[in-house]
Amino acid sequence: MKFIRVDMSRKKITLEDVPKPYLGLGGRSLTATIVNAEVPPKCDPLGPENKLIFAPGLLSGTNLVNTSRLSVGAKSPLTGTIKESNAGGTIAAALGHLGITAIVVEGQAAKGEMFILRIDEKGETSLLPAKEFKGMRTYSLVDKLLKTYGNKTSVMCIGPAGEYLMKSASIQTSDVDDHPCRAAGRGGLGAVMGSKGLKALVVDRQGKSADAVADPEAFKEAAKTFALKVKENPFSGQFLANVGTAGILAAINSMGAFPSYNATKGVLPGWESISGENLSKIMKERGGGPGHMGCAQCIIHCSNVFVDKQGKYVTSSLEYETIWAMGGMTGIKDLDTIARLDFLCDDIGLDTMNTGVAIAVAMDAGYKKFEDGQAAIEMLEEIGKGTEMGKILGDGPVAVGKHFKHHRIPAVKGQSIAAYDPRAMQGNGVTYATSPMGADHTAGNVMGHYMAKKLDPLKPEGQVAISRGAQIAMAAMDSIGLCILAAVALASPEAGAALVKALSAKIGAPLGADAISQLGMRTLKTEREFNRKAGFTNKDDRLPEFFYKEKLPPHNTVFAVTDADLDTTLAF
Amino acid sequence: MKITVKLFGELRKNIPAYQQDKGLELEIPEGSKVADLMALLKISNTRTITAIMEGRVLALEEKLSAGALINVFHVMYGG
Repeated sequence: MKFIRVDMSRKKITLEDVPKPYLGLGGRSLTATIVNAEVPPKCDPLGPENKLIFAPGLLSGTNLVNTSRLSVGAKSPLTGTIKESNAGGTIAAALGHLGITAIVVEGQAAKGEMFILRIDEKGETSLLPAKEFKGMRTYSLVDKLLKTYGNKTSVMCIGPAGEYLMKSASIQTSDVDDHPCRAAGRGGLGAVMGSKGLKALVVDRQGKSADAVADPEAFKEAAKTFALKVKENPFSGQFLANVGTAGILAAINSMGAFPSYNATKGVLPGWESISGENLSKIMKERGGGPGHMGCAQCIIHCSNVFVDKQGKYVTSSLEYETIWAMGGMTGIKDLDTIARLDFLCDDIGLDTMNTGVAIAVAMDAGYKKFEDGQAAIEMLEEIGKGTEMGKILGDGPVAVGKHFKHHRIPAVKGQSIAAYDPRAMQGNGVTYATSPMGADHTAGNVMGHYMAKKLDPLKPEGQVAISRGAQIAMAAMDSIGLCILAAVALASPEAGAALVKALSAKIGAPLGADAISQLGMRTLKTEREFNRKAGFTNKDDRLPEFFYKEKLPPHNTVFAVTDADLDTTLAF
Repeated sequence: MKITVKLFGELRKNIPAYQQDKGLELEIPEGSKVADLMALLKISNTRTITAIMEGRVLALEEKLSAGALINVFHVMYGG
């Protein structure tokens, strides 16, 4: 229960007890509550009044599987809203093992100053000058840091994009192989970290001061049941280890909901060449491969390692959303090029989704041709160098659309949509429109409902209710620190009961069956309260106009959920 | 009538020497339904399996069209 405040203006670190209003919270519920209580809603997201918060989930650092998830919170420079960006890797478990509830980074270092925040195995925290790391890309930075601090170290860092304060800047974090290939990608929080003058958070993984579990026996039993259910589910138990999240690509194309060529088509012609099945085939031929463990405590192994034709490491992990943004949206149908683009984003410190969509908007506007992989690589290098055009591209699709005066910008509240077109999956459109985060694929993705035949994805009826349910569930998962892919197991009532039992055993008080939904609702309410104070209204909970007007082939539908219905989504 | 069936993910393992680019070319009786196809493919747990034809997720009782391409998946969730 350590609560660490780091004042970057005065270079002062304060260790305090968790303040009373924050007790019992973790992950997204905690970052939301701190931002809402302590950050002036109308402040400059890149100014000293904003705060950057790192908070492991409520169960991170325990023995429950798939709980190494970290919430990073702040006011977003991309959306202007409250933001929680969620990352895997090893750092959440490392912080959990040290009994750290949250790190709140406040103030701002003087311009040109750069620091790293180091937490050793005893939890001693220090702020160290890091001018020598200035401008460094993430892979070489992590290499250097591990040489200094040893390989039992988790790193969370920014690349050049974060230092340039670009709105698509990510915060990259190391996986189990020490590659900075996991990301708190969304919302430009890398720019917030850059604005503070913080290059990296470096945490020892050997901490042994985790918060006590109140009832260890009950926890162990519940954790065992939950793990069993994760393995029993065909998707989380087998599919993801063999095909990875890229396996989703075939299904979404088959349903005509894969936004392609900057969301002008719902099926990418020739999608088979970038499918999960083809990706697995290539990786099995070359080496690397699916079934890779990317995050601490993971039993799903959805990650992969992509190597080139000579067997040399290119990137990890090539995920569905990245393949979509860098491939579907741009028309690039070559996995080697897409893997290179993924690596460059990780190395420069960029959200692959916002950046891929920015490139697609530039192509759609005629800046470069669709399908031109070399042009996409060059655009990323422009971002890495911080050229004038690079700065526009690095600020995301809205900045690019404004620059080229192009109308088709698939973004909500400034943040790009994800790999599900709202005209062919209307419920995902409801989530894009109403999530306090802006368009987001992990805030309440309902594609599983369509595949399970629960409702018609093309019709507006019933979409608000399923989006609401998914948004509440995800806000809770992000607070608990449970991976979205392990949360799939919650389709089984036994897994749901086991998760509630684990939470009860952790805190030592029995929780009701509705504890998880209550946590999710509370979190969403807090986030919406901040957004209201920041000046957002229901009128901001809308999709861009072209989704209502331009029909998406092959179904030739538009987004048809009414404004009145959208406004009921999170009105609780 | 003839149909082409493509299997994805783990389902490919059910058919020895399955080739992803070709899929399975099957001859089935006119009026066959999704449930009949599932039985033919020896898929018993139909609750977790989805057949998609012409961009639509089909219910078990829906009829298949002659000459159609049917893609068959495990139910997936976003990630």
